Amino acid sequence: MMLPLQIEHVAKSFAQTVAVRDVSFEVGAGEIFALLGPNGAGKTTTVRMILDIFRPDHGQIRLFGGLPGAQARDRIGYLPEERGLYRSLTLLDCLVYLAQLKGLAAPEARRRLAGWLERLDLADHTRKQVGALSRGMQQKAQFIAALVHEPDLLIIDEPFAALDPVNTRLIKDVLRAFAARGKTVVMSTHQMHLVEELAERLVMIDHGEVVLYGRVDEVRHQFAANAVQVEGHGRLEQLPGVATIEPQGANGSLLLRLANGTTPQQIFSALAGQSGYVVERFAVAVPSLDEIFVRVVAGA
Amino acid sequence: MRRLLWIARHDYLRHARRRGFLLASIGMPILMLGGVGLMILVQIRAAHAEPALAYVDQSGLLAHGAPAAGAVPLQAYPDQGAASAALASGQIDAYAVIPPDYAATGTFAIYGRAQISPAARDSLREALSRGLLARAGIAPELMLRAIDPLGEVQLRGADDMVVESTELIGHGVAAVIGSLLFVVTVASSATYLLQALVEEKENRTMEIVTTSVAPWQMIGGKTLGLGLLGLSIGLAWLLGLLVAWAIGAAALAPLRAVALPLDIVALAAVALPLGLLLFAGLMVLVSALVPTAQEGQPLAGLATAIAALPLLLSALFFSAPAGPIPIALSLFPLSAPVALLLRLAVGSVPAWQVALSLGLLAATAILAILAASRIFRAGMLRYGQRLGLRAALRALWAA
Repeated sequence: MMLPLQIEHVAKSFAQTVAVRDVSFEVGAGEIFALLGPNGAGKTTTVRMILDIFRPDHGQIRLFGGLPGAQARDRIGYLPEERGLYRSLTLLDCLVYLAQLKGLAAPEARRRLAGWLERLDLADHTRKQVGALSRGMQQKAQFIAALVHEPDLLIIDEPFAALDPVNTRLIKDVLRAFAARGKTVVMSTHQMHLVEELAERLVMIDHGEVVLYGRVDEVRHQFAANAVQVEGHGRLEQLPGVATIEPQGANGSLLLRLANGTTPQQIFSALAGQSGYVVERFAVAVPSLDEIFVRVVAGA
Repeated sequence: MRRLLWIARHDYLRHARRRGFLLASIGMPILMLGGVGLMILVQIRAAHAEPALAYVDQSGLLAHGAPAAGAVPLQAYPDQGAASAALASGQIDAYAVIPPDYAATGTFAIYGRAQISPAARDSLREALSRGLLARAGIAPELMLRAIDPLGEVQLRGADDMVVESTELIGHGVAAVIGSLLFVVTVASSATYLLQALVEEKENRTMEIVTTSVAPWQMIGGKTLGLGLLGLSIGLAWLLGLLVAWAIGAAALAPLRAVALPLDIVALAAVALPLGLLLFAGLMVLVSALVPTAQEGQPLAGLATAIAALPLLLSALFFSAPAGPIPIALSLFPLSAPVALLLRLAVGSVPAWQVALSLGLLAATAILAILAASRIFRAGMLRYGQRLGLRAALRALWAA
């Protein structure tokens, strides 16, 4: 089966500046995939190469088995980080025009837009000028522009910026439903908790190179220290194999760092034997993507 | 192609709805119509306000009667008393008294108005000239030559064919109208194109558009849409001019005699769209290089000034159309459309020069569009940054 996106050892420089040194990854159909990295890491350049705005100096990009270009253009939806809508047009006229550029005839575009505008709570604003809409509304409108032609691959850069929690949830639902239909999402964001929540796999780029690549849960476990997180109440007695106990926050959560050779299962058994301490929650301690991001980027 | 047309339609309508476009389109036609109206009014006033000039001839020079050809008729009074009574009763505005010694002294007096009109003065001058020539014994058939020795000048072209003066005026009018139409269209289209492209760079819609259509579709669509927008302004002006001309010709005899030559119109139909294409390419280039529309305006203005340069040097074109400067300007692509039209208006241009000029114009237009597509691709996403010359050249030579 042809993958929606395959990137093999691509590199791109601008004059003396190396924007992308060597990046490879693949994204499968029906996946929500996170493209991560610090500012200036090469994410946007990589996205622009996927979109055929720039051509790579080296390496190859394949979209649906072919090279980027006219044949793939209509199968891609794009939400850029820098939002761009025609502020002097009405919302409906603006979206109809952008849909036409993606190959939809005006009547079909209007029909589809009616559904999307209703779904994203913008139906009452179709006659307003885009410039008169709030940032959050413009963000949702831009989101509709990226989705209205029903692309097979959706590339979104910071999709939740400017959205309140209600709209964030709305967009998350849309993305999940989109992926559930076998379509692919490539999401670039710095909001790591949303990556943990939505994405199955990730690639992290730093200084133009891939520094992390794989399933989100595997990456987190890969960075896990030999520790467990425990919540409960009562008096915790000395546990064999535990090197240190560190309180975590105000809710009584404890981080138990284990000595070499001690496994979480051994600690779980030992905790179960302590009559003076009632365990309410036990988990192998894995770092958040946020922590991993900082550790990787800072070289910690 | 469909998307190119959508872009063209979108850009045309988006800018055509702006107040500035409406003002630019209808402002000049209104001025033209107003100008013609004023000319007609002046003529009507002149026709009504110029009564016969009375005279009392004490010299006998006008004994053979006043000339009929003069614009203002002359009305004889037998003596100064009768003329003075007519002036007092308001029958006449003024009268001239030609004294007996006029032939010797050349002095005479006008009673009534402090000044008489140039037309009345011409009538009186012609009448006195005839009288003086008759007294000197000049034969009547020579009298007309003596009064107006250049009245029957015959203009001939290099091919010895007679050129009617109305034809010359027609050529001149066609060339100047064509040139103005071109300069107006180019200046407006260039401004709109530059504004649209840089605006889309500034408001970030460019990234959406470029990921939806091919560069040739985007640039082609914008060139077509905004070129038509400029042409609309030019055509609105032309329409205004034609309506003003038609109204003027109905009332003003000199305008009726002028006919527009088809050869100049045909050349304009080829040269002007090619020139427009060249300017569109240049404006796309400029918009790729600069971060804001304001920074691009001087470059757009410079290109438009070069296009209009032959009009500024029109005296040179009318006095020596085959001189080195008119030839050079008619071969230089930016100034070629206007320069060619002006040269054709006042003389014949060798066929090889017309062919070379149009060939160079077409080749430069194609090169400009191709170069613009490549450089625009490199510069379109440089938000707030200039595309350096080196980067532009690199983009130009990149595959």
